Amino acid sequence: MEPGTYVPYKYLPVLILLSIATVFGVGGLLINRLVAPRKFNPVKFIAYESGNLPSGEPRERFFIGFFLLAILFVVFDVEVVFIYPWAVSFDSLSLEGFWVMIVFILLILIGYVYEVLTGALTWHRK
Amino acid sequence: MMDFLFIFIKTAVVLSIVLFHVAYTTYAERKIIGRAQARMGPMEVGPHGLLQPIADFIKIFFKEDIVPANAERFIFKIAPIIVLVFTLVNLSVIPFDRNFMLADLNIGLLFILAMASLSVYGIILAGWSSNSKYSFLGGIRSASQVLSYEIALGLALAGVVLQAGSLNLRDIVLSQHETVFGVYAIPQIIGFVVFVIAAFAETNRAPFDLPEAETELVAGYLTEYSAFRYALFFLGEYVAMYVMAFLCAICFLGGWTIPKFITEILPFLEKVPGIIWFAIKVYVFIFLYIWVRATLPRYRFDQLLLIGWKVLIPLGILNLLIIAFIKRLSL
Repeated sequence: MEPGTYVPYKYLPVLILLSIATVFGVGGLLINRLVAPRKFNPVKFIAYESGNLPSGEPRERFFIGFFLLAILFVVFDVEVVFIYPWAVSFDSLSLEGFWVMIVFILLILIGYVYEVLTGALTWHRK
Repeated sequence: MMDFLFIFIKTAVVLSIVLFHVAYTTYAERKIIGRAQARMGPMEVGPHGLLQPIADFIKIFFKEDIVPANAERFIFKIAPIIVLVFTLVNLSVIPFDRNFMLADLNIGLLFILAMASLSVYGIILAGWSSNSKYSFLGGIRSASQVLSYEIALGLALAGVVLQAGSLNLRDIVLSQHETVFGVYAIPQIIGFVVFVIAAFAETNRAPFDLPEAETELVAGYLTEYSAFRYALFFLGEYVAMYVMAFLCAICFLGGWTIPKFITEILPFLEKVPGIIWFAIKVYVFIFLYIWVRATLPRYRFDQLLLIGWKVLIPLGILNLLIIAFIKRLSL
């Protein structure tokens, strides 16, 4: 390796924990496979629907509200992602850097109020 | 090489201690809820049922692992491993004591938030791949619930990052110890409350355990799972509870330190090892989880989203703005 190459050596414990956790999970499944009984019965492999035979498609159309939430989440999560670096470097920011972020948060708040008023967050509509 | 071995042993020790705690948390939960409902809880295996978690753990290996005929086999099989691995990996950045943490990352808090988001994938994939209506609805619900509350959680933690000026969890505790109160829970009381409520929702615990609401969705995304795959989800959920308790203790309750105004009155308390204070704070939070589960009824799904979006997010932003203005004025 060339000198000066960035080596993320601090992440070594993370990698080790990741592999131990995977080995724990997969190993447990292997032991389970070895010792568990296997008695074939076709009824066992039917999707559970309170004892009835499954009716219709399992992945039905679902309420569009879930999708709307996911889109709103992206907007707000990006906002939070922008807040973190600002919060970390707060001490070295000028007065302007402070107010820019406040204005940004206020803009997001205006958008939030607009969403609430259009009823995007209202689950039951009359 | 010695270094590698040392880290390996350290990791194994942390992992086994946490898994041991998880096992006995299930026992504590059954005992406490039993007492809350005027029952005894588990009593048969060992004195006062103390060996119950071990018996459960052994039993789960001897159960048949069923993969439904219509399931997407590969995704169905790896989903529980995704959940477990990405919750366990959070343990690597937690400072348990002044000098005891596995990986001293300077982005510790961000790492935990990232991994918490990744473990949601396991839940969605489990719900989708089972090819069952209950699982599908449970997975969708869980996804939108966790996404909604992640914003509130992130905003509450942004207040902590702002006040501490660092994302490293050790630095957060150290700068917290320097403040007047010694804990961030007092100046950031709004953020603390938001964090606790969001933590309950993030881990799918009562009163927000809608993805596995047994009266309407049987067991949610867990419906089609059995044997050790089921146990992996179960372990994942409890480890996530512990991760949230660790985060709460570190970011709001002072981690392994106790406030200076207490040690000034009672100086001998400084001799107590930090890990004990940390453990007490974590146990209190875990007890809170169980206590709430025994006490509160479950919310309806639209109520849950209403709390998340219309109460917690504005409060989180308010908390952030208050802390920002206080810090700006005191510069």
